Amino acid sequence: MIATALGVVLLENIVYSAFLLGAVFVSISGMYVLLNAGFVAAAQILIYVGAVNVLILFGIMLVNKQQDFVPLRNVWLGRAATASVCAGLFALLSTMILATPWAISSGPIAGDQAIYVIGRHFFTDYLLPFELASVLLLMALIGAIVLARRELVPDEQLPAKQRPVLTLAERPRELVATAPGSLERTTTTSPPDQNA
Amino acid sequence: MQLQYFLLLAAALFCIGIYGLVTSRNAIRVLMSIELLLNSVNLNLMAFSNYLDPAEIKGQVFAVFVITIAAAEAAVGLAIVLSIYRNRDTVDMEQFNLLKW
Amino acid sequence: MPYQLTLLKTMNPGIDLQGSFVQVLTDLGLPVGVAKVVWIPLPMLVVLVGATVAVLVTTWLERKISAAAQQRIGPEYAGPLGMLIPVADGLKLLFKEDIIPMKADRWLFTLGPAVVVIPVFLSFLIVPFGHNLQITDLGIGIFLWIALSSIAPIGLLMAGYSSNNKYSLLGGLRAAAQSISYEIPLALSVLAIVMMSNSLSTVDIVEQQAGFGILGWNIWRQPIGFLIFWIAALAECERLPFDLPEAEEELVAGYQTEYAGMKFGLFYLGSYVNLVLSALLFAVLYLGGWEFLVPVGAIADWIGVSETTAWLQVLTGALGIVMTVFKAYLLIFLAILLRWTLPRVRIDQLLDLGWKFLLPISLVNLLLTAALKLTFPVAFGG
Repeated sequence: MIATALGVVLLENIVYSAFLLGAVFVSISGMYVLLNAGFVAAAQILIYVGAVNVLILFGIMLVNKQQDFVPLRNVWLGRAATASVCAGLFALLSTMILATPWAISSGPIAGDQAIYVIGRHFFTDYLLPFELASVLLLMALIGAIVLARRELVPDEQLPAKQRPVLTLAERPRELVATAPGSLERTTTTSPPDQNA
Repeated sequence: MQLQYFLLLAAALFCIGIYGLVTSRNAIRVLMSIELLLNSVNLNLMAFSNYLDPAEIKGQVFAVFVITIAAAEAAVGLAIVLSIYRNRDTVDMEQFNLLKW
Repeated sequence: MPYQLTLLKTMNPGIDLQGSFVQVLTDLGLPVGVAKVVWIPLPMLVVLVGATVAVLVTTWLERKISAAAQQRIGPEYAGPLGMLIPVADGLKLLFKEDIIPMKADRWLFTLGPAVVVIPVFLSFLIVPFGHNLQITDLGIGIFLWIALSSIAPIGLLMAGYSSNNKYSLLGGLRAAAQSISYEIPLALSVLAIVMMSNSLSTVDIVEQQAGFGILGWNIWRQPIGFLIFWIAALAECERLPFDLPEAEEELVAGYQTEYAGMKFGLFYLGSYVNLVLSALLFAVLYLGGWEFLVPVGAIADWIGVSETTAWLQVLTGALGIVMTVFKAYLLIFLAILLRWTLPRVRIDQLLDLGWKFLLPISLVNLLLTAALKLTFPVAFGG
């Protein structure tokens, strides 16, 4: 998982990064299965891999300009500084993790009953966040559509009077009859002027 | 010791996400790093829920909320990137400097 | 009460294949742990082989049924009744040269078919053929299938992008859009079933339809739901009338344009395995799974034999497998018939159908099911 995550941030090709992000999501789902959380693991795959990753890939396909970015000067300096800050942060977090005496409980686990317990929580103690999440999803739906749609600018229609079409009126003449006894017009007239 | 392994893994993922967030020049890679950050937080929550609160799995409930929020935020973020691309014809983060002094 | 359902599961009268197998091996002298480890890959192998054979049979069926629909005979020279045709197909695909286009992305090109096909095979984990006749009885049962089927668009995008071909890219984008559009009505119609059965596990869903023979099947309690599921499942399998991404007249061949040899064989195989899986899951969800037309318990009581007799259990198990396969065959027959009867749907009509028609109807179906469940708990799952 760490290897795939490093691939996401370090690889140059963004399409590779996007597919490796999918691999990160699947690995995290595997971790959830190890943590006795089958329902959340399946939900992770459904939402993250099935929706978020597909969304990111669609976004990449739409903005994938085959043009390298203008290289900056001394970009390695910024990267080294960030890397050192991240390493320091990781060191800090790991000392904190390894030093704290965690109160690991040995109660019964809610393995397969997890979905019932989650459902009960959603409708009793966590009802307000649940409703707020639904409102937030509605906002995100409408917001994303409004932000990303093309502005439809209708083509300007010229008023009908300003469309001069020059036609040459045909002289009226006699038609030659092509078949004996067939009903033919004997004269032609010019087609009516459509722009009158 | 099992809990510490999961927490270390989540911390490593978090740091990788921060590195990607700060150093990437492609706006979409920034969004992907944000997803990495949210996933590491989720992993932390799930590890705590399994080891410290196994009966009333409140951590899993919170993790489901985080997954939902992350999906919504990814959608809106990509919509923003798309409209910026339409206006500025690039997704290079270094070019989005209109607000710089 | 759902907590008591788990107790019910331990008291089922089905055949215990794992127990008997482990028993036989320990009697031969192997330690119990080794016997259990030896047992683990066996159901998976059986299902894998079964799925592949089912695909071969389905390709043969496709040719014969489409021939009958078009008033011709179809394959008849390769083996008796043309039964060796799928073998010939497979051999042809195996021996064809495996081409990778020059500027195509090697890794993604090779991975694409794998990502499309692997989740389909993984979903066979939850298909039950009898009380204890499935690979495993997961607590999250049918939800696993919905989650795994949502990985397929990633593979389609991979295949479309990596072919370095604008038709493939467009075809891949369209195929991915189609796939994700029909996931939601699929999931919502399955959710209505789950709401009636109070459990995500496929075994529980079949158990809840048991006991009344043909009258207890979910198809009567979900008249709109099964139609939505059937349409959405056909769209997920990319069968006509929704086979825009892979049809020959549209966009050359969509995302499969540049694929040849075994990689195309994987797509071909995957598409038929998906069809077989969808048919099996439809049979499990709506047609009562392994249940016979009249409840077996009633027949057993009528001829005066107790339910736990060994030969009756074997017979019941075999009957269960036959019934599941028969129901799946009926649906496959229907899918093949639909393929040669209906015209193809255009991509914008397809997406409109998914989002603007099926989604609201499946929400209404869910609402109706919930309302009926509250008013008639005895019939709609208490």
